[in-house]
Amino acid sequence: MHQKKTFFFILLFFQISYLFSQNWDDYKPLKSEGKLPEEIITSASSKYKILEDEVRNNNDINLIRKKQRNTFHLESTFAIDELMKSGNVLYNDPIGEYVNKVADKLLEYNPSLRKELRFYVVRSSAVNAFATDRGSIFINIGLLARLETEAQLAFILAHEIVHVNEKHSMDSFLEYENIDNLSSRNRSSYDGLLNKSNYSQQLETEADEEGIAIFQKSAYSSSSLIGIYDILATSHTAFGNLKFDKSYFEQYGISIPDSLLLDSVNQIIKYEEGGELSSHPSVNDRRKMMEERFRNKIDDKETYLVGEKMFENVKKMAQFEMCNILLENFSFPAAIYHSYLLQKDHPNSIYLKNIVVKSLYGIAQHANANSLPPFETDSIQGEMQQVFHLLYRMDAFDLSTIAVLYTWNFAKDNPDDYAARLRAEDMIIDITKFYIDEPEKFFNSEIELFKDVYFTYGILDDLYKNEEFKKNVEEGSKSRKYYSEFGYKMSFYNKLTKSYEKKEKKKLKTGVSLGLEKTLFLNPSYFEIRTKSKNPVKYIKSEEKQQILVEAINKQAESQGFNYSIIDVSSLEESNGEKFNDIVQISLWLDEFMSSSNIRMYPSNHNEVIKILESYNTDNVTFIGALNVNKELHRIMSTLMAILIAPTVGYTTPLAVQYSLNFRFQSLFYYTIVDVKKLKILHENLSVLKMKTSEGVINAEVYWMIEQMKRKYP
Amino acid sequence: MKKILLLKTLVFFIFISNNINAQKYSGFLGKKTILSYSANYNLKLFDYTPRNPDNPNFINKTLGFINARHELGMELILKRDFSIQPFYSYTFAGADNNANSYGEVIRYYNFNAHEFGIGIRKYRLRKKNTSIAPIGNYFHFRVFANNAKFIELQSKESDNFLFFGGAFGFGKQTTIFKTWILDFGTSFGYVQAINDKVKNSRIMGEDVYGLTDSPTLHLFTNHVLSFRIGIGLPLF
Repeated sequence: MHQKKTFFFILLFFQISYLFSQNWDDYKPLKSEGKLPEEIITSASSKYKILEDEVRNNNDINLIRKKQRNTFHLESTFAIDELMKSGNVLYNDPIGEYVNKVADKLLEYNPSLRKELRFYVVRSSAVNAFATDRGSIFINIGLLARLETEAQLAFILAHEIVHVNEKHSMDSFLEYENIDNLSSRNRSSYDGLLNKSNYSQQLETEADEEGIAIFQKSAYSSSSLIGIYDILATSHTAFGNLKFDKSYFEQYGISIPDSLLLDSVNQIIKYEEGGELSSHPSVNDRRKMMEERFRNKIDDKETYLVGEKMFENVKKMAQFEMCNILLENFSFPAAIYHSYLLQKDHPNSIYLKNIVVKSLYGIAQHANANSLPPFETDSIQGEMQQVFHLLYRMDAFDLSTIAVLYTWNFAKDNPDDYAARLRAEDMIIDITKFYIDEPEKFFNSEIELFKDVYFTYGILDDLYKNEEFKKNVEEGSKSRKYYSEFGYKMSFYNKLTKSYEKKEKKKLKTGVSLGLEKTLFLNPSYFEIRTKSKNPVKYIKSEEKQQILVEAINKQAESQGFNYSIIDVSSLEESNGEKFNDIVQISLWLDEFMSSSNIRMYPSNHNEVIKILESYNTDNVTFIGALNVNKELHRIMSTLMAILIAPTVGYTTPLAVQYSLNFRFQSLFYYTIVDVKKLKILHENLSVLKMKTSEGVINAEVYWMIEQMKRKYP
Repeated sequence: MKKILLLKTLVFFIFISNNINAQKYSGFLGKKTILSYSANYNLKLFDYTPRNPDNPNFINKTLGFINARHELGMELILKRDFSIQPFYSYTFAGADNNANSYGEVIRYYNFNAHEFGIGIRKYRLRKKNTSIAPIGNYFHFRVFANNAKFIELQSKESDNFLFFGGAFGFGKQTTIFKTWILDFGTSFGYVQAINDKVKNSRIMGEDVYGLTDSPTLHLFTNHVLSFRIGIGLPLF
């Protein structure tokens, strides 16, 4: 016990010293540290079971209420479990530690309440915080990046603590159920929405008022609290509003004409939440309420109890983190603008430079694939609009030119950054599309643009000597020319699709031979779905059956002597912190990779994932899942019907048996094998069978999958 | 001799199923040969209606108005969506000469029929359906030869008839108890006598009581529409 305490203090010491000693020029993205909390290592079913028992033993409520509560517990437990395992929530990270310390100070007067609460930081750019009934409070990075003082954080925590204490989420669920029932009987759905909104606004006002009460019991000063409502009112803009200077992009000989810039940007209009159907009361009303409460009250309490410097460090960490989150969400101009804001104070930060380079690379890749979203830059307010406007006004060539220069130069300056080099190579290949008439121009270094790159960077030299690469670029240019000149002419298109179809048909018949040495299975998932039910996902059964899928993988891979690893977020132990981080990184990689299906671009954390996969001794990741879809609501009834009818038409007995067993089921089994290094989907599969996803079916599918992975082309 | 031929045929099929195109198909958990038993039910429409079916001389005890044909098969998977299935099936029934109205001695007959045949099964009926044989929906087609026999119970005299037939149908195979295979399906078939023994048989020669066409009718009803329920064991 004593050892445990010592360990805890040492850990805390390092965390705190980490906050003080942050080297911003060498910032490393946040990740979970230390032991995993119990909440993540316990299965959602067992958590739900405890709650269900509590409801069952509660004799004060009637059966209908019990059922409603159980539904709430079931849905909320699994939703929170999913969030906590998603990788968006950080554990034992420096920001989280700080938030917990603020909570300690806030609830110094009530240690028993403090013990019941757990605070977590969520990697999300949204300005938000939320709480569950079971004592978990989540604060988003987006909110932390904007807060002005420690006292503001303390008030937000107090507000969320009220939500927990008063069990607001359950109350609103039960109330919504009642409203839904009423609306379905005699009122319009609009009335229902209105009632829900009213109720939700009531709860928020209650949380504000009682939050103030909690806050006032603490040693925090209320002098800075009004500022919170300004933060909420400007949550739709960047966390700063510095004028964007076009010279930021005028490096490496690039010049940006003024015509690409806006004369004036949209002014920031404070967003006043509220209105009939909003979940929150209007910001104005909340501000007024706060002002009334604290009018003429000057306290001599402290704004910072844990420490101002520590708060500033945490805020900056959140801001650094936010740039990365925006990049991961493909909000490239926003990521660039936020980095731009931070670069004013930290011009040498490699982390920020990397974010800018990755964003330019991302936006150029999207532009080259014609998949930039149609974006109305008018909706952006503040100086950030300039960046949006500039980048969306440029055409693919301009963006590619900027991206190629930034990526190459960044790769040159950071020779150890493997992914930076890949991105640079990727951009150079992409830029050839603009030289389709004379691809040789590209290599003859007649283009001023590449002279510097060409002579100073070794890779290009190597590429130039590489005949195969040269040929590829020339052929690639030719084919691009063909497409651009003739488009997808019908005859050619037909030919293309026919041969493609033929290939696909053959693939379906014979399978593929991938010849893999090893693979890494990531989070095998299983879902039990009942389509006609009110709550279609059957959580508990899904969790149970997920184990069957994992067992099938183990069994079939071993039976075929196939080398594999499984990392599964639902079977982690306390000491598997590193494994959890691996899962998070690979999932992030896959999210980025799969969300840009027609673009082959290196995800933002490519380096990290390559390192992780090296530790698992493989190049590829397989994500795999199965679904059992039941299309009928009353299975027992229909089975009884079948059994009753069978004897009357005797010889249909086999059909009746079949019907009662699996007539209305559909089994789906999917997997995707991705070669991370080559950035390629090796094989995708979706099997659809009109039968129940039994253990045998899962095993058969897994066997076939592993056979295809293992076998080589003869 | 017949048995040796049958054995040779079986060995041949097993050989091809395991060696040709070994890269192209999976089977069930790698097992490409499935031994199966199935019961094929059909309605006794034109069937014998023995006057005294409880007579201990009859060997058959069929289920009320349902007739069953018992089938032993060996499904050999050749491709991911294709398999062949040599099979043997057996059916039996009791009959009498239905001579009550003439006051003659009632003669009891046992009827049994041995059937040998081969069928093909095509899985993955639709483009999107991704069945992996032997699991999934399938279409089947089969041809068979049928050797039916009438045995007069007292004299033990017997007559053989040879039939030839074909059938097609649909079905579905799924798994049960993890490694067993459950088979459901329907089948539509037709049988045709290919020798004239039916009419010139010794027993049937003296038949004036409507039994002449019985073997044909019996086998016809056996095949024209039948429902199958079966269980399979993947062997190797």
